[in-house]
Amino acid sequence: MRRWIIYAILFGVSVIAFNNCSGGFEVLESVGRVSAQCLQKLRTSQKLNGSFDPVICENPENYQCDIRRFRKGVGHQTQQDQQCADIAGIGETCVAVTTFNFDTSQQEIFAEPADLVEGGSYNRDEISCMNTQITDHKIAVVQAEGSRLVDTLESTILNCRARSRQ
Amino acid sequence: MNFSLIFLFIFTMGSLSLAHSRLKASDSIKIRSMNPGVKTGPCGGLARVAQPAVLKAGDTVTVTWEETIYHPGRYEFYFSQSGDSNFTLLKTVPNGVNNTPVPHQFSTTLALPNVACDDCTLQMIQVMTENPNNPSNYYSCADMQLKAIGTTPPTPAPSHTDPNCP
Repeated sequence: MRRWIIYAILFGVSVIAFNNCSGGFEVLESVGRVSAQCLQKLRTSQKLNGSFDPVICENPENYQCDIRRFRKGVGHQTQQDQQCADIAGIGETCVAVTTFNFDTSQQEIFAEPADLVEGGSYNRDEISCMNTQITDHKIAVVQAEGSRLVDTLESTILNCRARSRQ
Repeated sequence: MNFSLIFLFIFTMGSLSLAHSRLKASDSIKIRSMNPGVKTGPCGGLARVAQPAVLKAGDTVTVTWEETIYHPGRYEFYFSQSGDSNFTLLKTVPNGVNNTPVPHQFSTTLALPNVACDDCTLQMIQVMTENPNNPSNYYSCADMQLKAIGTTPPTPAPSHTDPNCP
């Protein structure tokens, strides 16, 4: 009986933590209602839903990057840390990074040779950076994707500056 | 049964993120590439196939695809009448948690628009939502021709099917 009470308490705490830390279920539902083509339109549209202060682009705390690491032997863990990159014209910039590891050992069985060389589908990093302050439908609309953190972060910052001038 | 293990399993399921995906070729689906990791839309800059599938306007086709690395998210299917542009959403298929060995096999039926076109494109986008606020995509395309049926005048495909898209 005592064990079930502990499970119930842990479940309740987890639900509360989820709702407080992730914005709750509304975030996922909202994302589910915006199609990929629509999101692409929002990200490339000349007009954002309201203008924003260019200062938002200059604060490193407003940026977050995701790294999807597709490599053999990296495991399947997710890590969060802060990583720094030397951005041209800005200097050292440190941002929050979430790394999603995808161990591609299994993929070697059926992969084409080209998929396994450095940069191939199963042996590369995919980076996506965003400005967390500029959203539409709760999705980041100022972002960039690339294969290196420094380039992707720089593209995101430049994208932000360009959008702030529109 | 050890309830602690069950509890641990339930709470780790939500964070598991083991997408690479690609359409599979068939008589009615002539794919442009076997590459499962195309990151640039709408079709990775890949050339159209020399011999597209020839189908009837308004046909229903069965589409199969495989996921070679699991990602939480969904699959979206789009149709373009010409030039890999003005894609309209045909269907969305959610991708639930799947911890079975890859590749994962999928299948669905799609009702094609009742239009005649010579260079139409069926596009599949895998939307990865490890970070729901910053989804990332993989793209896969197939080429087809749709022929008008008899004297029935074709009806234009809807130009927009996402009511949440501005």
